[in-house]
Amino acid sequence: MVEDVTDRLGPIDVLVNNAGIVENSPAEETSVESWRRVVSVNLDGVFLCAKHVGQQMLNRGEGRIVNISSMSGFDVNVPQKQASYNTTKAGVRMLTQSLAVEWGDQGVRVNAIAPGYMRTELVDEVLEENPEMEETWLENTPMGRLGRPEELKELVVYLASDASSYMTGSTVVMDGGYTSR
Amino acid sequence: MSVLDSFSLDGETAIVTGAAQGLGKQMATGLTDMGADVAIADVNVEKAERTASELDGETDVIATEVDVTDEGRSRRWSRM
Repeated sequence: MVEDVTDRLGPIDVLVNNAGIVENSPAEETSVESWRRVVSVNLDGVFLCAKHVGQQMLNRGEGRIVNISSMSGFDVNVPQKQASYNTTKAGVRMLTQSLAVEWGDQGVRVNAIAPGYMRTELVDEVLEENPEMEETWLENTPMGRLGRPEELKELVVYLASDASSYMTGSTVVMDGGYTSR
Repeated sequence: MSVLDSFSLDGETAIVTGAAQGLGKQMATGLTDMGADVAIADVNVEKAERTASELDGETDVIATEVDVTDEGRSRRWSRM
């Protein structure tokens, strides 16, 4: 990926580690295979991309990394049971801080975004099958609505650009107030 | 630098993983809006290609295949 992108677009200034998965099941019924799938994509994936793109950024002495955590990395949201997801998203926060400290004096900034419930197509499909889940989500969200995916655009640009030049190691929550309750 | 200019990504290169759809696609759109060339990196390369051709325009948007869990592939990246 790094080689392909660098050949075609030039050296990488910004990496957004967004790829992630969720698998819902009660903890006592979760197989180790399921646990490892979630940890593998959500934690190994962020680590490996940050490591290898970060290496190129360190060589150039500049770069910005934005990791996608979740409000589930701060608070356990209900009713869906997703211990593996919550755990990995908390891990993304600490990985963000760890990389920020290691690379802080080498021109590479590392921050994260912790979104709340966003109405993506996949979420829409889940809610169609479980309409009662949406009621619980909305009751627990002070703003009384789900986020629109496009509402993340400005924050990712902020963290990816010089607008946030003195920020590193931060995880910015955007959740309609969910974790403030 | 003006406040507005500080948000500019003109001439910069960005990678967004998992950007073929959903939140990642919106983030990629935000980065292109501010002038960045963007690589749509996804395990589903066909969907990534579709998203890339949709967003390609003012800036260069390409698709690239990645399995973020693949350490072998990661090692190959680091040789550059």
